[in-house]
Amino acid sequence: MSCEEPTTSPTPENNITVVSSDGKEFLLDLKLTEQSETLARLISNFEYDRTDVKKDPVPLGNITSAQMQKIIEWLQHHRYYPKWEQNDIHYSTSFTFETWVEEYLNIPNNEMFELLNAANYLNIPRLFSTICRIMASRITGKSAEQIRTVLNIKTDVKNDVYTGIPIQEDSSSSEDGMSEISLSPSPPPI
Amino acid sequence: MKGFPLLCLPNVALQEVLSTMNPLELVFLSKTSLKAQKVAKFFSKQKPISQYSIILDFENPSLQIDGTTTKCLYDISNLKYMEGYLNNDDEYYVKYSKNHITALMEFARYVIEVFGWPVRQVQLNFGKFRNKNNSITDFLKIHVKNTDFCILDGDIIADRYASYFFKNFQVTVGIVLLSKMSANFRLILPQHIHYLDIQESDYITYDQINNFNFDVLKLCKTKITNQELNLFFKNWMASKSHINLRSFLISIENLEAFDTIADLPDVIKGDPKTVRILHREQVVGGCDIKRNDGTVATLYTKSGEDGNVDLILIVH
Repeated sequence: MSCEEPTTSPTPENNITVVSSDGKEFLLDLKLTEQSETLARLISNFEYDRTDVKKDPVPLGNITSAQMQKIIEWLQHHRYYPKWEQNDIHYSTSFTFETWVEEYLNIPNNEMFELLNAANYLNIPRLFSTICRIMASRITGKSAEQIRTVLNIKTDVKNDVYTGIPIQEDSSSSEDGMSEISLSPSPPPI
Repeated sequence: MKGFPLLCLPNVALQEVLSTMNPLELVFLSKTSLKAQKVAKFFSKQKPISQYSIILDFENPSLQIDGTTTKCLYDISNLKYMEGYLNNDDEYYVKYSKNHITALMEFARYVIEVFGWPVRQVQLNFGKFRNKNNSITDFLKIHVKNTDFCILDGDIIADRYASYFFKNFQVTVGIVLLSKMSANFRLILPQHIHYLDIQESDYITYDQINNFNFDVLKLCKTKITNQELNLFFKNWMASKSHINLRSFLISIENLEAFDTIADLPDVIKGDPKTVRILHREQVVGGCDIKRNDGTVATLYTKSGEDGNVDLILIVH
């Protein structure tokens, strides 16, 4: 869907300042922060939506200025979209993405990975879900060997116990694999 | 371009990505590395990935993975050029192998072990891969353990294969038996199943069916006599047997036989000009019979396959 985007200029009453990990300050319209559950909760807790409350800059230690720039671009584009409704997540044969989203996410894999982590950190469900679905769509219609190529999984010495075919160990992370299992995104320590 | 480090994502993101993949892609992803396998195994316990089930077909060697919104097929073919996704359909993968059954068992074993999806149905043709019949049963016994439904086919006399199958593998809901058995074959069925459909039932005796207590029973090409069938229904009316019966179908010689079979006490004949809907079946005519506990059933005939007449009982 697309929405008209009336221009508004932030005023001290309706914005907050966030500070990226590299020290850059961004002025954020409160309307935009509604898309981030983390920021929205923070604003509510500190009553930053009141005009008589002094607003300290919010440090976002896990977000670089480049990522913040990219996220603001997303928030601006979706400013007048209805609130994101998370349906039951399941496989669907027909994920489609609007052209703007495809262009927005036409970025290198490492940037995509960082953006997904940032979306998770700030709890922006629409961005988070969209990147996840884009990632899943990159694996669609691929065999194990092709998936290895897409995910750049390095060769492993072990053989598949069932087929004898070499299977490969992802060398990009530790052997024990799973981190502590936590299935709900946690807000940043503020 | 450097690959996307999918497996390094936080679990919440990983779960979302995996949940939007189809089950075949999940299996292929799990085969890319030991870490991927661990990840797949972990998330296979959680919805929606935990909700898939499997149909194992040893007749046309393939493994189907069913979900609420998808059906994915992993098909084994001896045509090398077919290998890969069929016509770019990401829900239909063809695997080339000269050893169909072995390849299917290897794939099934892997999928069951990693994902733990239940095998809902097993299909087997005793005549097609004759020298593999018992090893398939052994495989099922060890790796599948049980299934809801099985369909057993084959154009050979399959007494010993069927016996071995039922002795070693547990079927919990229903059996469709299409294969031929010798006349003196004694079928020993698993207890507690609800559905039995025997297409070549000339080895089934009246005594045997009297001991059955299924919800649904279908017997074709039977040697049960009209008098025995008449007795069968009398026993049902007296609550002496088949208490759980909801639906019964048996092929009979001809329409005239119906009069002998339906020679029962207190029969109420149905109107031949009225169509009744019973259990989604259209019933014309026939007659209603009543069990001594008040349960009513309708007995009627309709044309069966190969010009046969099917006698059907539907319990209301």
